[in-house]
Amino acid sequence: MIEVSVTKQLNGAVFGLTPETQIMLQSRFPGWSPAPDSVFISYGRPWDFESMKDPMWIQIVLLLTRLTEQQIQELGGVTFVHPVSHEVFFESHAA
Amino acid sequence: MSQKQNLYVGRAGQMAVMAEFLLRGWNVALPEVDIGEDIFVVKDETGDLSRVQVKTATAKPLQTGHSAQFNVSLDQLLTRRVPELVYVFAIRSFAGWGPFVIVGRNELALEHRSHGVGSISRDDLILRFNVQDSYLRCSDRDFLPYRNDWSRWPVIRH
Repeated sequence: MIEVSVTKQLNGAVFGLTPETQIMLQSRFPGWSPAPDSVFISYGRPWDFESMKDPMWIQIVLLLTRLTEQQIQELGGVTFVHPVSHEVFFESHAA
Repeated sequence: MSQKQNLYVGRAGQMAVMAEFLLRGWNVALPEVDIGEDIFVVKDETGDLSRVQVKTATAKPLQTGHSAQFNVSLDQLLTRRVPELVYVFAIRSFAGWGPFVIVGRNELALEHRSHGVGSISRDDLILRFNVQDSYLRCSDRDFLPYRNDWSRWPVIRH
């Protein structure tokens, strides 16, 4: 399972793989490195990232991991969590 | 060390780090209301902005070298923001300032989670650096790559 931490900011949100996920990917895919290490989705005004539609969540994971959708499914899917409270914002499990 | 002395040492460390940024040609700014030790580092021409959290400690002498201990908020360490936070750990030894240990928030979170760097006390991560001339370790991890690593802010000639 790929875990993405989400921090809400005034005009959007910043997304990044949790340290545990980075470690897991480094062990599963030799040579893999966390670059980019974050993705910032912004809007010029206060914006609620929870209103994002499904494909955007997956696109963020594709950017952060540089894996294919199939590889992501093989790893068990994704979950988006707050890094401190661990509140889950979005989940997509492997079929 | 008294709380008041801590405030003086912390402010001195912040100013030592600000001085280094200015010498490198980067502008610095402090929040008007100081509720932490954040410095905003700005490239004048482009407005590129970095957030820097300065942590300061007075070194304690060891048989060889010295050690310095720092506290980092775990919530802050785990929370990603744009612009990303960089920690500058300023060590004041008997010989003066340095080394400065410069670690990105994500790098430090990884060092903690994957290599067990630091120890947790309540809501903080406690880091103890052991420093010698060509040696810098934290929880037995080699931190030499972070020693005086100002490379995020290349020197700007005005």
